[in-house]
Amino acid sequence: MNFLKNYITIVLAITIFFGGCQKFSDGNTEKISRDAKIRPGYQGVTIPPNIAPLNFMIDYPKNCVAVKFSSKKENYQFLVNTTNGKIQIPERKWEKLTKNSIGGKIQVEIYAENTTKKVKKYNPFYIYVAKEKIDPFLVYRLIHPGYYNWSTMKIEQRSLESFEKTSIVENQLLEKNCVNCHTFNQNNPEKFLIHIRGSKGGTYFADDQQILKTDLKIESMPGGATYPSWHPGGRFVAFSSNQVRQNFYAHQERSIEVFDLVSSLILYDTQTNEIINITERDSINPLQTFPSWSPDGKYLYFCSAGCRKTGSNLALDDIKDIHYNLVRKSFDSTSRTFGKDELVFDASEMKKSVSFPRISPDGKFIVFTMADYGTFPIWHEEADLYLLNLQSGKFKKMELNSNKTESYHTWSSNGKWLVFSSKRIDGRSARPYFAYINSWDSIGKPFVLPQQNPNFYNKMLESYNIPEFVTSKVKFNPTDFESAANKKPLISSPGNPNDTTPRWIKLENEKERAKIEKGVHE
Amino acid sequence: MNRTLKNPGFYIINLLFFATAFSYFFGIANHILFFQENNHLFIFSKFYLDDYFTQPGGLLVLTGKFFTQFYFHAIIGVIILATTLTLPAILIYHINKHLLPHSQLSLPLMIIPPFLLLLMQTHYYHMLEFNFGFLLILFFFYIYLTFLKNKTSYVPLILFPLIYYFIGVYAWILIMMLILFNLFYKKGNKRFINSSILLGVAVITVIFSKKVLFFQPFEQLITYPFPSVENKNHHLFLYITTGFIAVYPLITKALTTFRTKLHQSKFIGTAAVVIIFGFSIFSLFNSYNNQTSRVIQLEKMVLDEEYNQAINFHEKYPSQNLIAQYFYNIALSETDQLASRLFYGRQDFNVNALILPWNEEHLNWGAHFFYTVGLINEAHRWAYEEMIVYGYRPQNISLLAKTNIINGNYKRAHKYVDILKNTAFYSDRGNEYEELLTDTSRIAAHPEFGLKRNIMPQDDFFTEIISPQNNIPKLLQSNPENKKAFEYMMVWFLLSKNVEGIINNLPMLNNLNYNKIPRHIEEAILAYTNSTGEKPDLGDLTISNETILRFNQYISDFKQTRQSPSTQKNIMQNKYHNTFWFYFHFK
Repeated sequence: MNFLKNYITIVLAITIFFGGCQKFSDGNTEKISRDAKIRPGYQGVTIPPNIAPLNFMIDYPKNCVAVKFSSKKENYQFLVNTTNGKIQIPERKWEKLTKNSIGGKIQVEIYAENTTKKVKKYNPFYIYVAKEKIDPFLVYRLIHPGYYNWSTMKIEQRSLESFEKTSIVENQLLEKNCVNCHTFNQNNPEKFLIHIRGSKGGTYFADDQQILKTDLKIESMPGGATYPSWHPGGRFVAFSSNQVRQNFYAHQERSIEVFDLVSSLILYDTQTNEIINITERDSINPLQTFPSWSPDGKYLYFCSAGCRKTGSNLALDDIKDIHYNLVRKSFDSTSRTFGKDELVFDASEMKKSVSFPRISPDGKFIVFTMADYGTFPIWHEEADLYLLNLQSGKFKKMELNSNKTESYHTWSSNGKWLVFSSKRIDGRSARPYFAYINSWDSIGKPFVLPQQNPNFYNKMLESYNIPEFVTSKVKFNPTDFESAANKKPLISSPGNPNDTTPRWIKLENEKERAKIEKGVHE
Repeated sequence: MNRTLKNPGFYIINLLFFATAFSYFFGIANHILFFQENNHLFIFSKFYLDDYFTQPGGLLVLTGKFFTQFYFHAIIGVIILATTLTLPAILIYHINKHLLPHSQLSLPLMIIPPFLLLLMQTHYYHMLEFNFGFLLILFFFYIYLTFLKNKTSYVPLILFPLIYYFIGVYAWILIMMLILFNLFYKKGNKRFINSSILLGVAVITVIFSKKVLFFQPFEQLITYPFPSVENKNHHLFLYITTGFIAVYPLITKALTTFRTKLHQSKFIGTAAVVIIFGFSIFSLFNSYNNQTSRVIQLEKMVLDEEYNQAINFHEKYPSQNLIAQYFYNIALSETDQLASRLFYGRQDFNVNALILPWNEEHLNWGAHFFYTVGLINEAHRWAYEEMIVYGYRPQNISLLAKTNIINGNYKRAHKYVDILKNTAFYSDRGNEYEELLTDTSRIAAHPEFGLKRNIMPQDDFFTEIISPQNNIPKLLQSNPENKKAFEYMMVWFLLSKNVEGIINNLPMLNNLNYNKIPRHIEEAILAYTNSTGEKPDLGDLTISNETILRFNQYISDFKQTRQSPSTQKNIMQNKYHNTFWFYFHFK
């Protein structure tokens, strides 16, 4: 298949070369002081030196278009021609260009021939090349941004240095179960976990060469283990345990509201296979979620909205009153105990709600998502990313936001790149965007994951969900998970058998879920 | 020079069969073609096509889907189908020249699989690709007999993986045929070795596919795309067809042991053909279910927005099916006749034919109610969920395009419009929607989309899933000018015989600028007045004399027929079946 693709590319290239585009140069062009319309909008973005080519579409129906890429630093340049508006940059030339532009910028000049054979040259634009590389792989789930039902679903890894992608999990091998929440320990592709929901349900721990299927559910948990966070030491994993529900808006401005009836925090000890409750036992209907460890493992950050009213559903006004703050607890890994809650960021005072706290690898900053209310910001158009300086307490709305949803984000291993989900292209499907975080004051303009076919996002209906950096290729493939799924799970046990059942279980012990609530986290 | 046909029987039988299939599917069973065409959208795009290359048999299904799209045009579709069903006969006839030469039994034998396929085809879930599967088995076997049987035996071994990739599980039936041919038609010990090797290659191919080539479960690799229609008759015909074709070389070999007279007897051959024809045609018409046909036809009319045609059809050919009555109600609502014509058609399900409950059984249809009453978000949700579960279909993609246009999500609408534009028969629709996206100011003035925008909720609430009827009062509160929601509310009361509910909401008639009270509401008012003695305030509106006269007549007839309860219902039904009063008293 690759041979065929290459053969076709060569034929096309020859066709284009001899195809009748005249030679573009500054000598035979008319300069127009206008920016060319390109998709994706890569003008002014900051990229890592090891990123795949930023192929793009030019939105004008011209006869011939030529784009000149040049590196000011090392005086290297090349031309890419097209007659169909697609600029697909040769990978080797791009690689050389970015290497020659590290710490500097790439100039992009667009020449377009119109129907009368006159050549116009648009305002050049620049692409800035950072010094720091990005982690070479991105792992994400591909899923239709839908409601209750799902069908095919996969977790895929994509090389950020090329267009290569391979599957890690494909759910047709798992009786079409739901797969989600892939989380890597310190961006390590050899140590991660995923959840599978359904007939092959469990939490699957991948460690080096093997996959272990576990059943992380004890009596005192309100639901299954949901949002995970690896302790940096690798022994512990904090999870939230959520009873999740969905409601659907009638008005056109909004679509879906996902909320928790109750959510608590647990700690899973991978060495002893024990689960310990983090949330205080006397909490009634707590709402604690999105655990996230500090890089030194001494603090567990999470989102907390106190406690909520009883009942099996919430009205719209009730949900609008739910605001999650950012809180943390200290942690002693020897005794496996936690300190008291400490308020880190009071979002409720601003009538806002925090989700997905993620601390930078150097421990200085937290990026979190903030929306008007609730705990599922991917469906909130107003959701944006905020940066909090943990030392000074200053916070700001990041410059990388758009007027559509920005949500789920993670740091690269070197702490210089942030990947986040954005719906800015069409308002419905999330795409991974990358931003260079040089410092508090210096954040690069983000760019979307480049694709070989620059028209890719216009066709694609699925969303990129939970984008996570990994430092090298994940070696597991879908058949590994298929084999693991057929084994009996390792059943976890309570870390403290003397724990009485927390009160939220007694009050909210739902034995029967409504039949309609398919496809939602259990 | 006169040329005479060598075997006129061959041509006559095939023509007769073709004519039978053509007439059946062009006539009483044309709903099957619509159903199957509407069940899937063939898209000319790499995104869509790529999926069919990811497992053995995918290309067979793709071929089936490609030709199924031509069912859009009735005649072309029927020609394709009838031809597909006839071709196996032609192939078997030529296969028989090798296996059963000069035998009059060739003709009856050749017609058995086509009739079996035809009988399976009477089920609307028997897709074209299933026929292609059997057709291709016979085709490959014919090629083998004609060109390869005397040549090097490794050629089938080399080709088998490719054939398996193309036709999936059907390749196993072919393997069985080749093995049996080898064992019973060839001589020497080599036939055992060749058969074993053939079987071994087949097994290795599947194992290699599982371990190396495809991320598919093992079960999928050995069953796809074999039909799995949930119907006893279909199962029976399928097993017979599969068994017949798989062991066909054995059957013909067994027949060669019979006396020559049997093979030379034209009478026996002809009689066998007649019996097979007769039995099959009898079974064919026995399989026809007019209720299923009516439902599907009604659905087609509503999807084509031929609402008046749908209304007339259901009133003329009443269906006892919930979905049919649901579509009838949709058609009434879209033509603003819901509260004035509801009982002209059969209403057998109380309120259940107004709004379908949320479950996978009704996923195909439930969106239409919400679209009709202007709950566009919920219509979008249903259409989206249907797309996730069942894949791209003309109706769900169209509805997704429409709901996004109405909601002002133009970039999203573009994606669905693009899909429609990349089809053979829905590109016009895509172009029509694209024009609106090019100039979005025209949407407000669009007769359909503009109306839907006007009746959408003006403020927000959560849609009720478990009791969807509770969305109607919320919708009315949010948009008091939503006439369609109002009429659904009122017919809900009518069908649940809640006359007080009707009376309590009469003031809305004036608010909604009715200049005439809908007929069934008039009937309910008169029934209320007759029973309570109270006359509700109708504002500026009055009850028509026609309804008053009819009501008086109804009362009189009711009193008269009360003496014979056993015949009362029938008598009243004849005159008053299309009134609320009859429904109230007798249903």
